Amino acid sequence: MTLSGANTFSENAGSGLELNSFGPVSVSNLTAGGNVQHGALLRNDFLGATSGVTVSGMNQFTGNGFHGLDVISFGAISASNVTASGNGFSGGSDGVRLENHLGTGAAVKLTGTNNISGNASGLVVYSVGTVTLASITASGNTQGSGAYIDAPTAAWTFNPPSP
Amino acid sequence: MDVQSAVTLTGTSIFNDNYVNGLLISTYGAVTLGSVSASNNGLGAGNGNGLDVANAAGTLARPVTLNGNYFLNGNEDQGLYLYSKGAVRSTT
Repeated sequence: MTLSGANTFSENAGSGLELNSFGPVSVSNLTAGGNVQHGALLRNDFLGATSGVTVSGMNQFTGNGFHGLDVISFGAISASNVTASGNGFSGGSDGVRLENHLGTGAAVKLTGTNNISGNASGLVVYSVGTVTLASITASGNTQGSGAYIDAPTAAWTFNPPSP
Repeated sequence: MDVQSAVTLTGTSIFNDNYVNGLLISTYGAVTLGSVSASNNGLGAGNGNGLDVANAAGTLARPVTLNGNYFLNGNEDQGLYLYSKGAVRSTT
């Protein structure tokens, strides 16, 4: 599942973008603002799936009710140049949430320049793979931590959701 | 067997004025950090560290390496909290 070019998802009563796939997901240059639920929800954490999710280019998530960017995968997660602000105030959610801790032990990478400030909570990563982050600014998140990186244990339970 | 997931943060990162912790890392693996500023965190919650790194819960001792410069001031609890069974190295 590939979404290339520049993509804008704003002011929707649900999420701006919701992608569910059993295969690889690749999206670029996302702008998602003012959505009642997530800015962008990208999932390929379904039974049998092992592929990853790539969010490339410049990506901005502003003023969404739930997570600004939420990626849930059994494979590798890579995102770049993410700006997330004013997200999560409908449910104490995060500016950016990257989860692959129930998967194959693949890596999480956040590259480029990333500003995750002014959300309910800032950056959250759950992974049992290598986590590599670059140049993070996460300040002024008013209900949680700036960044919470949890990569500790094989004790995660395997509980795949349905697509 | 423990999963030994390394966490690496490169470049210069800033975590100021957050409700709880500035940056919290919990892993069984090695941790390597670049320059970090984390100040005035936890004031809203009444608890919170500027930089909190814990990798001591795994079976094996894994290092924590702090590269660059650190500005960890005015936090509600510790500026820097480390909990590790491995070597802790600071290289500036």
